[in-house]
This record gives sequence, C-alpha cells and structure tokens, in this order.
Amino acid sequence: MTDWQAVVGRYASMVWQIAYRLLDDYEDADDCVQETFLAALQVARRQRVESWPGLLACLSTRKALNRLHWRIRHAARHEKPVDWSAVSSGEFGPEENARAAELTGRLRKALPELPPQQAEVFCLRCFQNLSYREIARELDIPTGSVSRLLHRARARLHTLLDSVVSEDQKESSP
Amino acid sequence: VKRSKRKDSELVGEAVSAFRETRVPDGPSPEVLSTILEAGSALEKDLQPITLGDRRITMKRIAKIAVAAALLVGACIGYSYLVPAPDGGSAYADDLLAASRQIERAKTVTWKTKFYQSNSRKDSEAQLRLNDRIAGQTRLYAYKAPGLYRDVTLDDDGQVASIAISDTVHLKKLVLHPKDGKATLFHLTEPMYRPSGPFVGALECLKSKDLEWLGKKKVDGREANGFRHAFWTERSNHKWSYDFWIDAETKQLVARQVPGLDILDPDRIYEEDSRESGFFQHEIVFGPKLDDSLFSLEAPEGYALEVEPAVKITEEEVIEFLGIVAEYFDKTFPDRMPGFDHGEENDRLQKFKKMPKEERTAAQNRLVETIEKYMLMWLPGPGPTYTFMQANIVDGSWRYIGKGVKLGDKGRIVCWYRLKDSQTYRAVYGDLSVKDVAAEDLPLPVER
Repeated sequence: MTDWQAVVGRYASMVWQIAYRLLDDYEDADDCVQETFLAALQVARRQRVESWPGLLACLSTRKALNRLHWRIRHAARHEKPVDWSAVSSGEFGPEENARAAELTGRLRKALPELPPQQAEVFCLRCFQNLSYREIARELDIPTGSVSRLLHRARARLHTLLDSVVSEDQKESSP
Repeated sequence: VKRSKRKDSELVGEAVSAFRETRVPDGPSPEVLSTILEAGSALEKDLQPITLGDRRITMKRIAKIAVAAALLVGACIGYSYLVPAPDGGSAYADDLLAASRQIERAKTVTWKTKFYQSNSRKDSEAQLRLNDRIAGQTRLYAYKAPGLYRDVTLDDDGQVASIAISDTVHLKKLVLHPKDGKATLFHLTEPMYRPSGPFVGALECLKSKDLEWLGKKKVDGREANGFRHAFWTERSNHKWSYDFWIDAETKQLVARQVPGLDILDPDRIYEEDSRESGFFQHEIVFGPKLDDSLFSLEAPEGYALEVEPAVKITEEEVIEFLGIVAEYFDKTFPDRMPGFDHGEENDRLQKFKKMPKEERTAAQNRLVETIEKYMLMWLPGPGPTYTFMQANIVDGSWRYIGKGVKLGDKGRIVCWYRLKDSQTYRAVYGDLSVKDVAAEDLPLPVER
C-alpha cells in the first residue's frame, strides 16, 4: 500500500526545488507542487508507481515547463526583474553572481523555446541527474531517444543562449 | 569550429551550473502541503476494503445517470489539439492571465449550470433516458477546496429537488431529497468532478494562443469579452469548442458554454438535427464565503439515511466480459483490450448502437448492452475490468496477451493477474477457464 504521507514527506522538498528553480516565483512554484502531487495521485490510482522520485521529477518538470511556456507567450506582461540575491554565494563576487543570475534567467527563457520533450529530457538529465534509463522509463520512450533528444536540446540551447549573449555583447559595445 | 563549439558547450554548462546553484526559499507552503496530504488519504482508503455495517440498497438510477452525464461531459475536456483560428486571444492576454490565475487559486467557487439538448437524438434507450433527465435542468453548484462540491437541483417550480454533496478526495457523495426526507450516501469508485477545482479544465483552453475573440456582450448584466477554443477531439473525432466569457472590468470568468455556439445554439436547438447536448455555466463567483456545513457528508437531522457501498465486481463478471469482447471480435481475442470509450473502437460501437437491435448480430447486441450497463453504473471502462482490478488485484500484475487467441482455446492464456494476498496468478484461458498458476509457469516473466 502506498504510504502517501511518507511520499510527500520524502519528496515535497525535491518537487519544490524543481518547481521553484524553474519558475522563480513562490506562488507559481506552490501551485506547481500541488498540481504535481495531485497528478501523481491520479497516476497512483491507475497503476503501480515504480519510482516515486522519477515520477514526481517528471511531473513537476513538465508542469513547471508548461508554466514557463505560458509566461513566454506573455513575456512583456510577466517580466520579472532578475533577483540577484537569489544566486548570491559567498564564493563568488558580485560580477560572477550577476552573470550567474543573468544566465539562469536566460536559461528559463530558452527552455520553453525547445520542443516540450527535449526540454523535459534536458531538465531531468541536467538538473535532476536522472539516468538515461530512468528518463526513458518516466517518459515512456526508448533509451536511444533520450540521448538524441538531449543532444538536440543542448544544440538548440547553445544557439539560443549564444544568440542572447551575443546580443548582450553587441548592446554593451560602445 | 571546434573552438566555437567548445565555447557554446561551456556556455550551456555554465548556465546549468548557475541554475543548480540558485538559492531556493523554504517551501512549499503549509496550505499546499495540507491539501496534498488530505488528497492522498483517499488513495489509501481506495486500497482498503470498505467496512460497512450499512444496508445495501439499489442505487437510484437517476443519480447514477446524472453522474455519468457529468463524467462524459467532463471527459471531453483536455483531449484536444488545436485548429488554426484567428489570433483573438493575444490582445486580451492580461484578461486571460488574470482569469486563469483566479481559477487556479480559487478555494471556493459558486455557479449555475443550465443543461440543454436536442430532442432529435435517436440513440439507444438508455442515452435518451439520460438526456431526458438532465435536459432543461438548472443546477446550483458550489466548490470548496479540497475537492468538495455541492450540487443543488431545482424542480420545475424552482424548489430544491435534491442536493448532492461530493467529496472527490475521499470519494463519497451524499444525496439529500428534502421533500421526502431521504438521504443516501454513495461510495464512489472515481471522482465525478475534478478534485482540483471546477474550472481547472478550462485553464489549458484559456492559455491557448489560438483563442478566437467573440466580441463583447452582456452576461448576467456584466459586460464580458467572449473567447472560443475550437478543436478536433481525438477521442470522438469531431469538432468541439468551448466559449468563455470574461468580465471586461474585473477580468473574472463569468460564463462558459459547452459546446460553443458554433457547435450548438440552445436557442435553435429544436430546429437542428444535432446529436449534441450541452450546458451553460454562468453567475460564476470566485472566493465567496462558504460555510463548511454546506459540504457536510453527515445526513441532517430528520433524514432517513441509506448507504450505498461502492460497486463490487466479481471475477466471474470480468471473465464474462472478456468472452463478450472475444465474441464481438469474431470469436478471437483482440490485439489489446479496447476501452470502447474513444477512438476507432468507440466509433465502431457507436455505429452499432445507432442500428436497430434486429440488424445487429447477437455478439454486437451483447457488447452494446454490456458496455451500456457498466456505463450506467458509472464504472470507468473497459466494462467491469478496471473496477475489479482496482479492488482486487496487486497493482501492475494484470497482463493481457490475448492477441489472436481463439475463443474456446483451452491451451492458450489470454491474460493473468495476481489477487491481493495471493502468491500465485490467476490465468484466464481462451475457453474462459481460470487456473491458479505459479509465476515461473507463466509464459512471460513477471515482477514479484
């Protein structure tokens, strides 16, 4: 029998971190966590859950990406200034922190530009460290496809991030 | 080139590292945690046998039909893909965003729903009964998180005919009939409404970039902008749409019409030979103060309470259903067990349903009647199998390998499953006999 309390206790923080990192907004992340667990419940009602962390990581990533996608469509209206303190760390100076915050913001903007499955694979691999096999199981795709999708996602992100950075350099040039 | 690629790769790597270093505040909020935990207790109850010292009575058919209707209408939501439409939504992005936010965050909602239908429908008797029952009704609804619904049905004189209080988290429903002082408590197998809220299904539509703007009109005295989300349904392969009306001033969703007026206009319903029925939800209010007592699942004082336990399906009923399906497919078990509620097999079944009984084969008649019987019992399909599995078998132990097995073949296994508290598997053969088989004797490996 599923011990739901234990599942929530063990993974709520993980789901929250995925949601918050992607969304950078407390209320959105809160909603995302709720949607994720309610969706997971529906899954659990219908089938045995092989891996709760895998399922929850997949669902929360998907839901957060959906929200990011929605935001990007309404970018001008939902623009949020970069929260520099969010990336502050004693190990880095203000310039490094500023660049890290900038890159994080760029990544949030770039991810919804990817096809949904590419974005999911990228997030699950790069942010959650899920293995190719785990990703394949959660997304119900062949392991080979994971590798292909990840490669495409990286290539596309290279282009998206690079173009943004190039634009920034252009703007800052005298 | 190599140098440039390495630089790009470093850039993504740097972005990923920065992303992973992002400081995250404490969360989620206690409110969200409590909602999640509350919702989860239903799952655990799902897996426990219902202990009742209660009397079993025959479930009132009308209540089941109304529930089935709500489920069928609700099932259409979310199974869509978009067709190109004029870009009407983008100019009202703020309105749509505000309306969506309100839906997402609503802890309480009230609204009215008016049902309507075409009388020209010539479907099966059961479908006609179902449509007759709900057509022309106006119901008053209220929702309170987490997952509580109150549904008041008015009679022709505007008096309260019945009140249904549903707990979609704990899967219970109390129906009150004030006129004769009767109360019935049902234990459900599936939530009849969305636990996360009544208009959550509309969110995807409101977020679609292909929304069509319908102009402005007065809805319940408020000036509202209309938007249409039109699409082809994959499940039933026809065009469908939703019309939304959002208050021009407050940006609140004030009405929803299902299907949209492009599919079915209730004012012209008797002129059209339409197969569709529909409903209009209006007077929608988000965030009203609603007392907990409105959602109490305790029968009020003075009511005679009857308790209807969840439907129980026997193994024999499942085996019989498998046989009926094999008969339908020319006495051969199909490649996979169809759901019969969407896609090609649903289309085929619907075609047979429209034919007179005498023109159908005996096998077609049996399947049509069986599917209809379980639909009216509000069981999620196919037939009785899902309900049986939910209640009786070990999660994930069901395996169907019936492809090409002839009905009557006593040497080939069609499917197997492991009953709870059992070490062996129940294997169903082509002749519908059932044997207990050890895991190692099954033709395919199984997880223990």
